[in-house]
Amino acid sequence: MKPLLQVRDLRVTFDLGRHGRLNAVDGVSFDLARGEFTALVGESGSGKSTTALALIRLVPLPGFISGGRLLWWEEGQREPLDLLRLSDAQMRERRWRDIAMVFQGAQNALNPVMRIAEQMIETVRSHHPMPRGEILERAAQCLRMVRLEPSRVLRAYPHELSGGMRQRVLIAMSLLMSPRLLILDEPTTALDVITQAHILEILREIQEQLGLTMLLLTHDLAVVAKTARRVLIMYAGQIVEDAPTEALFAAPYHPYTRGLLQAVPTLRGDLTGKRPIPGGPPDLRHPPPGCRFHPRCPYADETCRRVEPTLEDAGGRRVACHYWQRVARTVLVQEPHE
Amino acid sequence: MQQTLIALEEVSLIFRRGWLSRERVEAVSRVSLTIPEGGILALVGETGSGKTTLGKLVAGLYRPTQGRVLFRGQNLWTMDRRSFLEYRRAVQLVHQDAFAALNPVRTIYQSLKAPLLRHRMVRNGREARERAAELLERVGLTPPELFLDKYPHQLSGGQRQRVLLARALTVQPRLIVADEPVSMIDVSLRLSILQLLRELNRRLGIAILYITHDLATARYLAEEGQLAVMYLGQIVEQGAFRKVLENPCHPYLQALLSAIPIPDPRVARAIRPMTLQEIDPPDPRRPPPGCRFHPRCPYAQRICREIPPALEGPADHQVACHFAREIPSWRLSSAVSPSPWA
Ligand SMILES: Nc1ncnc2c1ncn2[C@@H]1O[C@H](COP(=O)(O)OP(=O)(O)OP(=O)(O)O)[C@@H](O)[C@H]1O
Ligand SMILES: Nc1ncnc2c1ncn2[C@@H]1O[C@H](COP(=O)(O)OP(=O)(O)OP(=O)(O)O)[C@@H](O)[C@H]1O
Ligand code: SF4
Ligand code: SF4
Ligand SMILES: [Mg+2]
Ligand SMILES: [Mg+2]
Repeated sequence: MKPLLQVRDLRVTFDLGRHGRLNAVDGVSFDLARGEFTALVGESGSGKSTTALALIRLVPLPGFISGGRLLWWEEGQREPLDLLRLSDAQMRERRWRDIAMVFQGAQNALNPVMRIAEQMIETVRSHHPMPRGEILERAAQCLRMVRLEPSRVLRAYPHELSGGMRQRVLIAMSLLMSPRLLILDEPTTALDVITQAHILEILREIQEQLGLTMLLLTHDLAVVAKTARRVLIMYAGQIVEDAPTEALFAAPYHPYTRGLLQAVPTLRGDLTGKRPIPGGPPDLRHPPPGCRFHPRCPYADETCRRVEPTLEDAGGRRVACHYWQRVARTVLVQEPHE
Repeated sequence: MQQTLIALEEVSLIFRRGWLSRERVEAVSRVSLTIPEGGILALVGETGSGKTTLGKLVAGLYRPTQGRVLFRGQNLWTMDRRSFLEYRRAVQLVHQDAFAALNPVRTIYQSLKAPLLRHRMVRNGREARERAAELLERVGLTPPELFLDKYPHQLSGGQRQRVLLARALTVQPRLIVADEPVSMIDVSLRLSILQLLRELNRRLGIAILYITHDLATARYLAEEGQLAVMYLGQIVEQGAFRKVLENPCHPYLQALLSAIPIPDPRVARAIRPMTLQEIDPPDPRRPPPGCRFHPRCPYAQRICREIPPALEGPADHQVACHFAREIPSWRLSSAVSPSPWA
C-alpha cells in the first residue's frame, strides 16, 4: 500500500537579511504510512515545527520552502499529487479537511472572548458551509472522543478551562473536518505529567479508532516509546535516523539517538551510565562540514569531518552515519568524549 | 546526623490579588521541612503547586503569612540585621530563566565582580578578575578567558545557567536553591548541569534545594538525599528519596509515577496511568476543602472531603493521607526488565 504522504528532499530556508541565511529543514525525506502513528523527535531548534509547517505550507516569513516535493497519495489514485504545486486556494481547501495541525503552544491562542462552541463553528464555517446544528453535533462527537463533556465545554470560555482541557478542545477542533493526517506539535509539553499521560492515551485511542495518520512532534523520546509506531530523529535540520519504535529503543544506530537515550535520567534502572552529550547544537547559518554531529560525536574521525553521510537503508530502517554498523554493535557509548 | 541548616515550621504564604481584593491564594500551606548542612532536598510538584513560592520562602525573599523559617535555629524574621544579611549571603537562589536573570548589558566578568566587591570577598579589581576566572573554571566554563568578557546573549542556555551558578558561588553560599535549573536547557545538556550541582554539593559541601517537576532528574541529583512531593501548596509525601520511591504511599504520588513516560516501549506499554476521578488538576486558586487531592483520588471517602490529613510517619517517610495504610501499594518495578535506557 502506498504511504499517505511522501516527503522528498524538503528544504526550508530562512532569510535573515544581514544576519545570513539558514536551512532550518535541509533535505528531509520520509514517508507517513497510512493509518500509522509516527513521531518526529528532536531538540529545540532542530526543525520539527518548521518541517510540520512546511507540510501544510504555512512556513512563516522570513522563511520559505526552497525545495522538495510533498507527494500526497489519494486512495485509489495511481499518481500522487505534489502539494507544493497546488495554488494557495487549492491548498487552503485541503488544510483542516485533509491535513489538520494542532500548533505548538496553541492552548494559549484560543480566542478569550468567544465561547468554545462559537470557535468550533467558526473553524468549520471558514472552510465549509454547514448548518450550525450539524456542526454542533459533530463538535459534541469530537469532544467526547477526547473525553470532554460537550454540554459543559461548549458553553465555556477558554479561561474557564484548564490547560489540559484547552489542549483537548484543540484536538477535538482538529478532528472536526475528519482529516486524513493530523499533526500535533508538542501537544503535551506545557502540561502536567498526569494530564500528559491521559492525552497520549486519548490520542492513541483516536488514532486506532479512526485509522488516522498521525505525526507527533516532541523533544521527549520517552513520550514516543508508548505511542508511536515509527520514530524519526531530527538533528540540525536533517533526519538522522528513522526506525520502528521497538527497533529504535532496542538498538539505536545513530550516535545522536544513542547519546540522547544515555543523557536522559530515568526513574528506574542504573544511572551510572548516564552522561550528557558534549557541546551544543550547531549554528545553522554555519553548519559543521561533513557530518553535522561530528563535533559532539564520540565516534567521529577524519571521514566524518569531511564527508556528509546520507540517510542509508539499514534493514527496515534508515540511518545517516558512516559507522552505524560499529555503533549498533556496542551496547553503550563507553568512553566520555575527550 | 548533620546539623540542620534551614527548618520550616508550619509555614504558610497567602497571596492577595491587589490591595482590597478578597481573592486569596494560599500558595504554600502549613509546610514543615528541614534541610541539613550539605544535604540535598528535591522538591517535586506540578505547575502551580507552590514550589517557587516555597523556594523563595527558603531564600528569605518572601515573609511567611504564618509559621517560622529557622536558619541554624534562629528565626529569620526576628533575627538582627547582621544575621539576616549573613543569611541572605548563605542562601542563594538560582532561577530557571538564566537569560532573564543576567543583565544583558553587563559582561560575565562585570556580573561576577559586583557581588564579589559588594560582599568584600575580594579587595580590588585584579583580585576580582582572578576570582571570577576561578569561579568560571569551577562551573566548567574553560578556559575562563574565553567567557569573562562575553555578554549573556553570546552564550548558550547551558552556559548561561553555569554563569548563574558561578554568580551564586561568588559569596560562598551554604545553600543553593535551584529552581528548575534545567527545564529551559536542551535535553542533551541537562545532565551536565545536574552533574555540576552534584559536584558543588560533594566537593564544597553546599546544600541544595532542587526544585523541579521532573522526578527523574530529581532522582539523578537527590537519590541519596531527601524528597518532598508537593500538591496544591502542601507536602503530601516526604522522606529519604530511595525509601519514598521504593514504596510510594500517597495516591497522588502513585498516580504521578504511573504517568511518567518511560523510554522503553516494552515497559511503557505494560504500564497504564492510574485511573483518576478527574484527569485535570483543579484551579490552584480554589483548592478543594479537606484533602486537596480528593476530587481526583480513586480512594476518597467522606472524611477526605471534610478533614485535611496531616503529614504522619517516621522522619524518613511521611505521608499525608487518611488511608495511607489501607490503599494498595504501588511499585515502580514491573514484570518486564527494562533496557539499559529505561
Ligand atoms: N521566524 C524565524 N526566523 C528565523 N529563524 C527561524 C524562525 N523560525 C525558526 N527559525 C530557525 O529554524 C530552526 C528550527 O526551528 P523550529 O521552530 O522548527 O525548531 P523546533 O524543532 O520546532 O524547536 P522547538 O522544540 O523549540 O519547538 C531554528 O533553529 C531557527 O534557527
Ligand atoms: N506573586 C504572586 N501573586 C499572586 N499569586 C501568586 C504569586 N506567585 C505565585 N502565585 C500563585 O501561587 C501558586 C503557586 O505558584 P508557584 O509559582 O509557587 O508554583 P510552582 O510550583 O513554582 O509552579 P511552576 O511549576 O509553574 O513554576 C499559583 O497558584 C500561583 O498562581
Ligand atoms: S558520521 Fe561520524 S560523526 Fe557522524 S554520527 Fe556517524 S560516526 Fe558520528
Ligand atoms: S486523604 Fe483521602 S482523598 Fe486524600 S489522598 Fe488519601 S484517600 Fe485520597
Ligand atoms: Mg517547535
Ligand atoms: Mg515555579
